[in-house]
Amino acid sequence: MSRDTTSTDRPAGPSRAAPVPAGFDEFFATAWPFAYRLAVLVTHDRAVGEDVAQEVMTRLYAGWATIERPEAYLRTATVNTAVNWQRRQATSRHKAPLVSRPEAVDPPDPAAADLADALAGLPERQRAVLVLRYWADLSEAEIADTLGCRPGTVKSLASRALRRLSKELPR
Amino acid sequence: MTVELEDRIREVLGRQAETIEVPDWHPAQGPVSARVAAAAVETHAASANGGPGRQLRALPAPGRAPLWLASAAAAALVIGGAVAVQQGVVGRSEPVVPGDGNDLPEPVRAISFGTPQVQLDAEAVTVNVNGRAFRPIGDDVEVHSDPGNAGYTTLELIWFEDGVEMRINLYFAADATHWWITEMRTYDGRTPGEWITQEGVGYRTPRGQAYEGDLGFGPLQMTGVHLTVNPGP
Repeated sequence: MSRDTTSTDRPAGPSRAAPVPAGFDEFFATAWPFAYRLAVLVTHDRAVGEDVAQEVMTRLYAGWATIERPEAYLRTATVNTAVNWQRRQATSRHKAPLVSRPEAVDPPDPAAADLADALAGLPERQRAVLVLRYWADLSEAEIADTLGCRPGTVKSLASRALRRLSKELPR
Repeated sequence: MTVELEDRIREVLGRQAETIEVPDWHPAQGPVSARVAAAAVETHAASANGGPGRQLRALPAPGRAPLWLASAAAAALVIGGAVAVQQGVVGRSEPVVPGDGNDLPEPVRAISFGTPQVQLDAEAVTVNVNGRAFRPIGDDVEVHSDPGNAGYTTLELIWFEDGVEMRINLYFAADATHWWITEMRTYDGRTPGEWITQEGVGYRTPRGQAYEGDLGFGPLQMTGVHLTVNPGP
């Protein structure tokens, strides 16, 4: 992916005074849906997830020429911003609305709905680890890199999350 | 049991993700809303009222440019535009080349962050934490001040380095004749970051004049500083 030149393949509209940096749109095409869904899954709030993803993408757009590992930056910044938002929400004691439960698109599945609710109730870092592991299919090392912690910490967070889910879900 | 649970989690998350329709958007268009910034404002208000941990995070005040706008402004600067937002002003950390088409004034020092309340110019700003040095360099440093009142204001910097969120907060007090720093804070370089705080700092300076010299504490060091503070009426 070349990032040395300037692309002009996107038309310059009224709100776009300068051309998009080369290579950004190619990256953006897959990165935006990923970041948006990741942010919504971690925050459990579509509107906030959208804000989180937009903030991160805007930062990436601004620093495109200098960010060496945009995929890693995207993951880390999205999860950090989402987790920080949740910590703020915890401070202000605001309860975020749940993201749609699976039965919204499928036939009712009480077990899946219970699991979705249990996932929503996990501490933010534990949920982020599960989302990165089971939705984004990242390895423990990649998750550690994303969260800025040791692989052992990832293992511990995942283990605690699974233990809590097992305990909370009806047998 | 664990494998079965893992499979179910994978399935539930996958199905949830499928239901999330991705809006058509591009960073050049500017964001649609700013709830993240609003949430930050709520936290700030809670903290100011003596909330848990008195977590005075770097926050835009109500009615001020939200985080995305500061970021968008940074993008505009990167692509050559000169941008000023209502209260949050994007930091600049490199000298402007006269005559290069950039209309921003040439900064006094290599580091130059400004808001309507506070102007910080410095030769270097470094946060030595977690075994490395963080520096607020680049056009995507977000800069805000709490407009406060005649006796109180802040300077708040937010930036990301290799995915690590870093912050510096300076808290100022003033009376009829002087202003001074009451507290300095910086993140510890970890994810999520925790504050390292120094209270009762000092640097008492006559109102209307700039502090000149070095300032900082422990991990936060600023050299060649020219700092002016103009609290509100």
